[in-house]
Amino acid sequence: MTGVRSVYVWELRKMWLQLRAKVILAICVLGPFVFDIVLGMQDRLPKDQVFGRYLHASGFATPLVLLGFGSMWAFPLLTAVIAGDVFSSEDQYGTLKTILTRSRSRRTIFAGKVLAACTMTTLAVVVLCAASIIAGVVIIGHQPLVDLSGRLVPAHDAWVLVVASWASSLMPVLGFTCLALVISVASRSTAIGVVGPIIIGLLMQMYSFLNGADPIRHVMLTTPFNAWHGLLHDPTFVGPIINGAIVSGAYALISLAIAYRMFHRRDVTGG
Amino acid sequence: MAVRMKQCSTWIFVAVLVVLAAGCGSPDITPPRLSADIATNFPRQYREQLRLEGQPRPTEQAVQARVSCTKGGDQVPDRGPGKDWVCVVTWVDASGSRRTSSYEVNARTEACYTATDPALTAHHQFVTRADGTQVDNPLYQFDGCFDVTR
Repeated sequence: MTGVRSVYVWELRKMWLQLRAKVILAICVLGPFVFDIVLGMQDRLPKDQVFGRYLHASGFATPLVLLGFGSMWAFPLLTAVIAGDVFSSEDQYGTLKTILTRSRSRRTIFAGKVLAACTMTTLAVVVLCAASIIAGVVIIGHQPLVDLSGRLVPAHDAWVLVVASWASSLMPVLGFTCLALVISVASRSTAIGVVGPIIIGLLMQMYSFLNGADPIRHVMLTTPFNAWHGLLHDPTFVGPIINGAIVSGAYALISLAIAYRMFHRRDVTGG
Repeated sequence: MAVRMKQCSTWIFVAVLVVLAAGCGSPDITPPRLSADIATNFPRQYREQLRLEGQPRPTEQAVQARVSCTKGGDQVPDRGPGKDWVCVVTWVDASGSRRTSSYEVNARTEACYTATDPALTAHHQFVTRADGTQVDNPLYQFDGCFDVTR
């Protein structure tokens, strides 16, 4: 366990020292404020997005609209940029041989890297969630919010539901993180590791927009991103969240299993 | 090589299963699901409209909303996403008279919809609040989502 911990801490430090991680976190902090300020300067609202019509009426609409936008492209992008090169950068710099000849097993290194990537993506989502709630409440206010069944939700319930909605989206975010990790191991290329998950996310999104068969859409990793709608509905429904947890878990486990097998069996001679 | 072939055939088998599974199964967006949700949603939007105008509000039950949804013309099957859903709502207003509204509903794949009453476009797109400010009329256009797992 101590081995995993030291790899984990080391990987986190490595990520933290990269400019990329700081840029992502800065965007997560500032993005929601810019969004609300720009929105305040115009009358048009993104009404094709759920809660878009309430952006001026309640500050709690901001985190929910951003959650909707995020699930379309920002979350796959975020996870890809963070997790897409966790393994492939070692290939790129030829450092795999160096770390594998230290007194840490491949299993330990694998576990440490996976945990570090999941921690960073979770951190980014938590920061984005907190910033969007604060931006909404500070710039727009904490008025009651009309939910997806027409019920007026008072402020003290609204923020709990907003946090729960964001928490439910963590499952597919971690699913995408594991997908990025397996692509990173398999491709040994940072470019493919970063671009791969984004393209997969876009293809899944396109399939949903193009009115593909419902059962296939249910097993897409982008579908659980919409599961939170049931929380902002009276009566509440959690069926999509349960399905989303199963789908996200399956993607994560299968991706990690394949990634581990590849990483474990890899013949490292160069570097 | 033999192992490769075996792995490959397993994947093809899984892919065929997925495609077969896709062919059957009930669609997500159906008239009962859509009309049941609008029957809950509509009275609340009406109450919200009256709240904005500062008028006395009937209970949700007193609105007695009954909804019937169809998609497209006679040739189009009544299921699946699309902008061509039409939902007819019969309801009782605050004065007690029965009224009928016809909503154009855009149902999207993720089981959310936007309902618009085109009859309100000209003069009733906004309501005037008690303090004199104008806001969107909730009955003109509203959003909703429903459960497709039950």
